[in-house]
Amino acid sequence: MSHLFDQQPDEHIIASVRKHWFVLMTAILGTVLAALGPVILAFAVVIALPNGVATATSLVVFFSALWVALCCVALAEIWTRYYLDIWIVTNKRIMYIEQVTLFSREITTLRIERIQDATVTFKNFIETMLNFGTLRIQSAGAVTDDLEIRGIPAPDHVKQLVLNEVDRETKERKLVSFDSRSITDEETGA
Amino acid sequence: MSFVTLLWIVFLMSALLYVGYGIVLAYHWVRWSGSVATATLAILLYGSAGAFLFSVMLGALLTVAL
Repeated sequence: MSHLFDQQPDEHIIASVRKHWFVLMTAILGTVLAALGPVILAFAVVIALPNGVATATSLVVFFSALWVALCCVALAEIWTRYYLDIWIVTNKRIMYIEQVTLFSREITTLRIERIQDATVTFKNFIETMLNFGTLRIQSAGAVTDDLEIRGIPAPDHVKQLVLNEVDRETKERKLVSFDSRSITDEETGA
Repeated sequence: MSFVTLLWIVFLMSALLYVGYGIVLAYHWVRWSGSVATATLAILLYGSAGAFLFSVMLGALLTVAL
């Protein structure tokens, strides 16, 4: 994972999550249907033609293969965007790396200490049954700084991981604050 | 320009597009996936699908041309 971001020495990855497989399957199914539909139709026309029309058959095969090749390119891009979209939770921050288009990547980072709350939303029957949904991490800043990730698998579990890290970080901060206050009191003799 | 020449142009241009786009995708797979096995598998799948489809196209094209 360190190839994706500049990992600090004391930073360790708690979870890395990709979108749910159903999100990928929906996109793939649409493209596969778009690829096969015209091809099946063209071959049906060829079969209906009288015998001895070899050129027509060859042309249908040529353009069908061309159409399927173009759909293969589309499938490869869909998979690439799915595979390169990743959500990483570390003990210091949360990162959402999104492959917007080819050569266009967006990396959104939210530091753990800036997280205020997390909300999970299941929008429909399929999301509820397959246990994937939208996770919204609310930050201490403006609403525009909030992180929203759609199609995340087991969002409740991921939310819990994030909130555990927030709790740990808050405890550590309180401990450091308490220590520094003790030192100051000792120095002043209070 | 004859119809067969037009088909040859379509074939070559689409092959060029497929290979060119494949190089761009392969760059992304190698650069960002972080897994050599995944990148290799993706390149092999994309390459073999292309080899199959373009050989089918070439076969059909030769049938029309000859």
